[in-house]
Amino acid sequence: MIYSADRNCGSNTDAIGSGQLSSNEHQERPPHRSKYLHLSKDLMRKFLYFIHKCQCHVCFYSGDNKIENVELLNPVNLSLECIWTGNQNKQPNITGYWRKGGVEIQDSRVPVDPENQQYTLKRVFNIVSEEHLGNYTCVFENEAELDFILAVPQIGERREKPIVSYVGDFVVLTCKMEDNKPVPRTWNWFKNNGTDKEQLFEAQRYDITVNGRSAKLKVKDVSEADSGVYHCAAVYNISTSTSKMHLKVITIWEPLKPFLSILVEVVILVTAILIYERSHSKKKEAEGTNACFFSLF
Amino acid sequence: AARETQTRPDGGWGWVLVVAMFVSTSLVFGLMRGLGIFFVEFVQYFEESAQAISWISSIGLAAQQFFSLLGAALCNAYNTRLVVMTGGFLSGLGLILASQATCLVHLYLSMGVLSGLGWGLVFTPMVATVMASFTRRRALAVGLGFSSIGLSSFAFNPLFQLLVETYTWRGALLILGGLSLNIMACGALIRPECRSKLFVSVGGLTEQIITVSLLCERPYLTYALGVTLLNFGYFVPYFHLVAHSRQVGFSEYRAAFIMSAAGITDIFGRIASGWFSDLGRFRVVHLLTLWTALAGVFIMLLPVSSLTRSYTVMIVISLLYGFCSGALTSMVFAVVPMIMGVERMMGGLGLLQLIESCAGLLGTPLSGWLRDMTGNYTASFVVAGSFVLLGSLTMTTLPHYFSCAEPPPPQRPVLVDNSETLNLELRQDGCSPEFNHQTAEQRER
Repeated sequence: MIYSADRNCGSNTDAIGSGQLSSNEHQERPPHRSKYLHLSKDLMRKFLYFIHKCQCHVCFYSGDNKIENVELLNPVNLSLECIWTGNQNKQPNITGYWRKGGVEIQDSRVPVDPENQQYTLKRVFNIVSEEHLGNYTCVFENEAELDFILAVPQIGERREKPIVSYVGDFVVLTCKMEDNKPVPRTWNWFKNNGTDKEQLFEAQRYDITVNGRSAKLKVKDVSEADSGVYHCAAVYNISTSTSKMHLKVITIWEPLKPFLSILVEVVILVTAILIYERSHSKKKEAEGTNACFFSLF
Repeated sequence: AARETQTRPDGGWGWVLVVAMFVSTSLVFGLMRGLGIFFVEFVQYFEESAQAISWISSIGLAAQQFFSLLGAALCNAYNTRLVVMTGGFLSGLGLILASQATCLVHLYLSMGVLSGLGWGLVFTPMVATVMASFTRRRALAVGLGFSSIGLSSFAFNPLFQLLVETYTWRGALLILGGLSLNIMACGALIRPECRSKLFVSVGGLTEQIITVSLLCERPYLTYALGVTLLNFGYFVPYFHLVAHSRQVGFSEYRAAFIMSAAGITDIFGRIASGWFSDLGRFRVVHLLTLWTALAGVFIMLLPVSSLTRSYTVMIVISLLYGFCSGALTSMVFAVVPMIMGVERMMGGLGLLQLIESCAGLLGTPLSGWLRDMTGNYTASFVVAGSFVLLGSLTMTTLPHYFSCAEPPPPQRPVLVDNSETLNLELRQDGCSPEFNHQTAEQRER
């Protein structure tokens, strides 16, 4: 699920993110009057423990699963809320705190009192740039914890196997952001150069085409030096999401090896068959039983 | 010159020819059925529409059917061995040249026309040679030879996927070209003395008159129409199912295995339907329409089942489709002598293949065009399935369809002349094993 808030939270659905949630929210939204975007009743029913409203600059998010993924595109004040239903012990108060990346956040310890048999822990985080993304955990001390993973939308398709191309041919590397994820601001392409990543720009041999959700890098007149690891980067306001792929350049000799061995096998077979038949028919001639004579044509 | 009518002794070198037929048929039809893997790669590389790419395989298929008649004629004029070896060489050459293609037209000409010509010169002569080498065990020999189609379709799909992944489509086509050259070894096994007697001398004027007279007969026309309609849809899954599975979201090998599944049951379908029709409980035409109708239904179910996104469901439908597809192929062959009479079977078959080659040519590109228009393969498969169903319905309009007993095959007066036609020899030897069975059955009734 994608959450973000923009300055114009009330009128711009793009800021909310794409996919099923946004379209429903768009339909239910009262025109320009309220700053709240309401969820349709359907979605309310679906996500039982999810309560979220979008208010200008702030998005609420709460969950009941062990790990929640939150995708963000823009800088936002994100409010994370954890609700714990308690257990048999029914303790009067519990300490709750937040962790980021496994390290406890300073000044985040608060006492939590149960309300209607539920313990609630809420905090607003100011997510501005890449270092604010990561793994946030709300902890009910010694009782329960819940992880929120804040990240940019990840590029879905990962190509595990290397892309193969021939010397002198062209090859097209593509990266596509799934339809239910927001459109990146732009795309960049990189190639591994030793331990560094070198950015590729539109040049004689490189053709870069960016089309909203997809980006293509066409490498023309490929040579063996073009082999290596390439990265495509989807740039969002808050951070960049990358995906890598491996390009392998081979010469024509690679498939030529099995081809030539098959060719040799065919020649040997055909010759053997014809020689066998010649000797066989000569034998039959000698015995006088062969009516036909051996001939290829 | 008088020619001895030798009764071929079953066995011996005949079984070697069965092996040759097995290998060559798998390299023709098994290979054709694996081209669905290349379809996906071509669409990506050439950035052309599905319809434009579909022409490649459909030209190849149509060329194979179209040149079958030529292959038969050349065998009579020259040497069967030479024709098959040339066919093997041409089909391999076509694929080798295709690996160097830089535009679609290159593929149309090399993989389509040239390889198709090669395949046409290989298939019919090879089948006829095997049929000529056996008398009693003909059905078994030919059935064994044809079983290669299903087996190779099963094995080739994942193999082609592996080749494409390792060497891209260029390298894969080069290697396939080399593999196709093995057909030359199969051709070399044909001995000159085993000149097939089942070939029609197309040069003979009388034979041409006999063949053309078929066009004036309603049963033949109806059957030809039914088979043509069938051809429009029959090949669509072989060329588009892999692409469809990939579009639905299955990985490369899973998609390849969906196609393989159809290949496995193809074998069983052929054998089972042959065995079942031999039991004699039902008329061959009825069985043919049954299998054809079922095949049409399963083709239509293929895109529907993919809506469930369940791999198991797709495999099951593919298995069922493969079974019906193999089953109907056996029956198509068996019905032929009943419609045309034995004397005209070879000429009639050649003419039939000629007519149905148009459908083979147009069917797949039509399916590709529908995909381009709608964005997915649902419409393509539904239309293909309905063509197959239509073909099945057309065959119900054959004369005497609804009677329970087999009508007598049309009798033709024997034309005696001096040219070396096969009329006399055909009547002595009999043709397909199915025909032999049916006449025996009629005698019993």
